[in-house]
Amino acid sequence: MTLSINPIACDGYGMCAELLPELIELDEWGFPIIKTKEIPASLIEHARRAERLCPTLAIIINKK
Amino acid sequence: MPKSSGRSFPRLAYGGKSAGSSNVAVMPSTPIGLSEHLSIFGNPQPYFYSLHHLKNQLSENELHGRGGAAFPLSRKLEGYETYRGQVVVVANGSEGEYLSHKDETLMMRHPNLVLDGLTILGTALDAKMGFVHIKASKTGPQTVIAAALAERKQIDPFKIEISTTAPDVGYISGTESAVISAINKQGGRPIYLPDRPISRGVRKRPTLIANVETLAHLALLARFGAGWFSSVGIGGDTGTRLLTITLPNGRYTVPEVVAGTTFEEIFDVLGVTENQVSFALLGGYFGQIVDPGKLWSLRASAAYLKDAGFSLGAGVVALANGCPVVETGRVLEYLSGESAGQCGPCYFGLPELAKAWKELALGHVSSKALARVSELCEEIIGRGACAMPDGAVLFARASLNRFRSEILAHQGGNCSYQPMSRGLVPPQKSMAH
Repeated sequence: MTLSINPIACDGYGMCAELLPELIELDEWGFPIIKTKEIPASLIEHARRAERLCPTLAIIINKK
Repeated sequence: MPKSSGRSFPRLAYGGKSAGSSNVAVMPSTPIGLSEHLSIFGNPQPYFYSLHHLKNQLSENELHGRGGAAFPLSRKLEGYETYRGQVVVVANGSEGEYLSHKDETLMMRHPNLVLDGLTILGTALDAKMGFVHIKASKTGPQTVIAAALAERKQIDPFKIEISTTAPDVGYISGTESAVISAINKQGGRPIYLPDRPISRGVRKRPTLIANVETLAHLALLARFGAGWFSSVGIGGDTGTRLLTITLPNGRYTVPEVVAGTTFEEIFDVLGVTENQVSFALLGGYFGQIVDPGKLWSLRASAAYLKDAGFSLGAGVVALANGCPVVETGRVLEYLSGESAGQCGPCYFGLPELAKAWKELALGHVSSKALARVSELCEEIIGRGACAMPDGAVLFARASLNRFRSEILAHQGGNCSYQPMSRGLVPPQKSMAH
């Protein structure tokens, strides 16, 4: 599974970087940068949580 | 026999001024009506209206898109077969780039070639309908296309409407997802479409969007054949293409050139010499600024320029005087003002990039200031919903590499160039020298 962000939906709340710091960091304006696209099995639950809790639903988990 | 059949050059600029060159001719802009159109070009071969034959004819990838991305039309068609009967086709004539005029000139001259090309694609895909998408402010092409549609109504059953861009969206209005958003009356800004508009476009239908010039070439290819189409040009890039050239006096001209013609030959025909300009913009705002000496040695071919590390984009070439470092700053500032304001890295990043570049242009050159530009480029690239932020970053990077010595010369407020009176961007958005 891979991680992506809908950059239009994203408003830079930054919650994803709090919930998934292993894969996401924030740029100087508070918008997420995906460090690693591939989601390791150990982080899938955390990634799902970030997807669910993003205030603008901008986190996308792709099935392949 | 139609009087232009088999004529290898000029094609779109048929009837224009060629100044004796067999590779360069300037497009006239008076419209050619339907009866004259048919007497010059005849009708397309009927088999081009079948998807199978159309794909066969395009199978060697001869026809590359003329909207900027140079994507082969044959590959663009892939995947639409399964959606036959549901597709919407769009002729994209929105031409968002401030310096580009080739699409409007083409629509003014050959509305019927554009409509023929769209009809061929639409019929082959058994499309529901087609749109010709034109910039809201360009009433000339809108009128000419509307008149051509009215004239064709009797003979052509394929339904085509005119659509226009959102009036407050500029540079990015021509990007595919923005075209869809405009036709759907959703604001005309780019939308997030990770899978291209193939499955969810205009009115939620699979949508095929092609540049108007690409369609005009298709209309000719459908008459005279793929062999004829490729009878001029160079390897990897055959046929002809339209350019918009801004001359040193600020006026523009739209020549049709054989792919691969040297810029030296093009400027010879246009009567411009190298020493009249101090720099040139090649490939529009997503291209680069280059020295005249370099430009004169290059060829007008998307494939050739790509291999040489440049981009032809939608064929914008602007000749200007002034300082390339200052002008890079102006372009970056202009692009930052054209952001749709939807994606954070573009909305916040591009003004920062323009500001960082302006520091260099103003002579505040330090290793820290140079590193700041590189750092912003790294931070912004690849993070927008459309190509806008990437285009600005590549533009900045190219100038950073190409004009490094001039940037260093700016330290302390020096500049080796004459100040310019007129630049590459709309005057109200210019940056003080």
